[in-house]
Amino acid sequence: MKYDVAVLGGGPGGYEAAIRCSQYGLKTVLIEARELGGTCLNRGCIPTKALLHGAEFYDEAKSAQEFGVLFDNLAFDYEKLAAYKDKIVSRLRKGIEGLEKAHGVNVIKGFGVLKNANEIEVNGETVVADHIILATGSSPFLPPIPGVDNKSVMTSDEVLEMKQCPESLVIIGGGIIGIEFATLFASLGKKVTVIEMQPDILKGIDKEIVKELSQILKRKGVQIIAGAKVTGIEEAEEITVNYEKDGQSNSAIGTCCIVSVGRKAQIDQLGLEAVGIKRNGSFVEVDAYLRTNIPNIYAIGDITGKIQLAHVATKQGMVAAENIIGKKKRMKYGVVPSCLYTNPEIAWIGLSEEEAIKAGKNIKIGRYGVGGNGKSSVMGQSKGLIKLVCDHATGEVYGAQIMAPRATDMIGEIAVIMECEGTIEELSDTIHPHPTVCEIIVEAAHDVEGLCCNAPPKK
Amino acid sequence: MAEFIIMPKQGLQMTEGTIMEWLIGEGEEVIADAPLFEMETDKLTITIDASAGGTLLKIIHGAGAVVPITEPIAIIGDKGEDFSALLDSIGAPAAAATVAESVEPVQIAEASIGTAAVKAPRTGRVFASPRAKMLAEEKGIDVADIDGSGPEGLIIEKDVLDFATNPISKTAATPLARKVAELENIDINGIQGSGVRNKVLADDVRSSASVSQAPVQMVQLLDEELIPIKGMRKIVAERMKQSLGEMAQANHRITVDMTNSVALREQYKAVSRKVSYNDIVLRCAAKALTEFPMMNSSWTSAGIVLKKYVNMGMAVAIEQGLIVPVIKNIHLKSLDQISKESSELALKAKENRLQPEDYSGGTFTVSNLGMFDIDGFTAIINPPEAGILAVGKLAKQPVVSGDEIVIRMMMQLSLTYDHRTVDGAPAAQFLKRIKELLENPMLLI
Repeated sequence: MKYDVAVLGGGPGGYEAAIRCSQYGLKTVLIEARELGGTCLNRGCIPTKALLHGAEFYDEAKSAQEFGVLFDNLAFDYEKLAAYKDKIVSRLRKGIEGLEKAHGVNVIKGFGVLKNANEIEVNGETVVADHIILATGSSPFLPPIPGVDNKSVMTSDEVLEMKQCPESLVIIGGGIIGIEFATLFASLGKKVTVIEMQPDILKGIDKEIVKELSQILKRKGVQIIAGAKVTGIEEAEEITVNYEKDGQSNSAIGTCCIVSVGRKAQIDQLGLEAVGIKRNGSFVEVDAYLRTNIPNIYAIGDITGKIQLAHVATKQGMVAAENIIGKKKRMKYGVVPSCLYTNPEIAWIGLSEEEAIKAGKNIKIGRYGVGGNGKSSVMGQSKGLIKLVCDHATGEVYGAQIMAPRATDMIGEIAVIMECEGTIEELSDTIHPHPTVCEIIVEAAHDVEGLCCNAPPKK
Repeated sequence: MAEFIIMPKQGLQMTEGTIMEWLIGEGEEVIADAPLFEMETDKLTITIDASAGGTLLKIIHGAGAVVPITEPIAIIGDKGEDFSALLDSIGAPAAAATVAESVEPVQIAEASIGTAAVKAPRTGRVFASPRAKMLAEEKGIDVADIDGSGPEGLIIEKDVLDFATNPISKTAATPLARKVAELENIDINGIQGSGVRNKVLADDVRSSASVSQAPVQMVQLLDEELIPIKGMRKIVAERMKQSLGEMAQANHRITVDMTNSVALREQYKAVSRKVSYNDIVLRCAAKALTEFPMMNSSWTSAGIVLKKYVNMGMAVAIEQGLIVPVIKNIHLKSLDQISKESSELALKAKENRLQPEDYSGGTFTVSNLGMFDIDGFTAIINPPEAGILAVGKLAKQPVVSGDEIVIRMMMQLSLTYDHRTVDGAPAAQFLKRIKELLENPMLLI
């Protein structure tokens, strides 16, 4: 079959790129070896959020008496939650299949391998295309630690397939994935130990927010060991993770161990060598237009090694599609929101206070605590804060860090004002609805000039 | 009884004027000698006072209208008075008045007056007030690019100024881009935008700044300020340049013993009559001019015009620049009269109350910088005059008298004359004559 565009990989980057190409009137084929929706839908964002939602529900139910909701024998059935998660994933996956069909994208199930710059072999047949978008994604990275291949050592892939909840866990890696799992299992009342090699967990997030989150996690029984290097994993009745911290050897014990130290590009056996596609370390090299060194072959998503987030892959897919029809669009990475589904949620975008200072920016900070927000109080939430980072002279919004209920739903507002090059004044002038959590944004904007009404005067 | 207010003639060369603003609205009360409207000629912008009181019944020509001199521009009379007959008597301009008042001048003009005399689209010509044209030329703006806000789309001065500060439509730019432009002192108009629908982004402004960084920085470092060339400055500049460009100006200097003039002034003072040294100089120069008519002439293309009267200009420094009020027929006036008129004119000049007739028609000029401690200086002739007398300070000086050094009140005079009309010798004789008169003021009698 001959196509205008062949998209290799049906994750959030590839499946939307295929639809967009089809919308542009290009005859498009989407080749996926496993399930449509990729890591995000099947082994990432969606299933973890389904599990976290259930766990949060359970966690809040424990204190629901205050709202007049009374339970007898409050209990938790992990198997049922896992089934709920599978149901959601399955429903969304069917949705994507339906969308591809509706948009006239031909979907081929099978492992595609590049033969040359215009041909992909899949299921023994050859697909011919003028343009190819590589979107094969990533898989969990297992570091070379002795004992990492033990049976009870899991990555996010296996954790999300569990039908039973382990009694205690040791999580290696205190990044986004590790902390979300820690939140999940701690909320279910399990003993969690997080071992992080960096001096602190959640690198890149505002230190004040990390500190507050760490306290919340500790109160839930999570033990965080930062600045520690894992030296080996031993499995017996239980699993023992040995680590070194401050020159001292120590160990953490759990019924299972989760390794969440990063993800690697899935580009082996793709036939990149046959076509001569250049790599950049373990990733595929692309330019600002997402072109590889082969003019008609584009690459998007985790394999480009830029920012490993579903929404970045999706945007890259849109940009690649536009460039295929000759729009000459550059991919920009300056305004990318990130989310962390803890309780309360954390979301951030652009530069943090420390990053901005490090970059030599002359900044002003607007800050507001969730404790002063009416809607949050109604929701029984008082933890969290927002920090807006903006330019001293121009008021340009450099970034925002939010820890608040529904923070992940609110960061989009900051993304829009940054993308549209609004300044702190426009943000400050915008009437925000009351009573909502998003009022903390306008309070922080007012605070930039020390004019926040709902806070005591700054000293 | 209802009567017309006409476009006043302000100065000899004026043929038409542009109404800038009516300070009194239709139906409002007009007070005699109080400001009624503002107008501009090709030379100046002035406020015209009402000559009589009453009610402003009708504005025939609204702001922006260019009206030939003596043509009716409004009707004044008693409140509620019927002025239709008066209005009918002039016909067409009344229709133009409707246009001037309407919110959408062009549409109404097309709808209601099929016979409207002037309309830009018909001829392809662009109509602009003389002052607007002058200003546009000065600023290097093509008037065709400007939308006129006057009647029938006439372009007035304000339109040119608006266009200069904000050409055509507002450039689409993000708030940040505008702020960066403001802070970096960059004109955002004309920057190529790279955003959605060519919106100017902050980076577009920054890159345009880096292209033209050097000059921008220089301006900041030197802390310069740009003063637009307009009004009096412009008029002075043009006249001075015209003067030096057209004439063959030469210069003589002479030192005068003012002892007797000082004594004369003291005698006046003794009888409580105030006369300044400059008044004495004016009187002496006037007398000398009657004796040397070539110094009181004008070079014209038709020939040299000899004037049998002396209208003496006296240069007065004012805040906005320099103006030369004129004492008319000074050769017929006594020292007392001259003294009275000169102080009146100087006061009017400083208070900005000079009327065009006060500063027009001069035949010769005296400029005095003695009060600034200037010993002597060379002045530039005020065209179309043939000479100018520059007066230095009056001070005690050691002077050789016979074989002795004595102390006398001395003063330096400097005559600039147009060598096209006056040669060196007669100019010297003229200056010598002024010296004689100043040294022997009884000769004035």
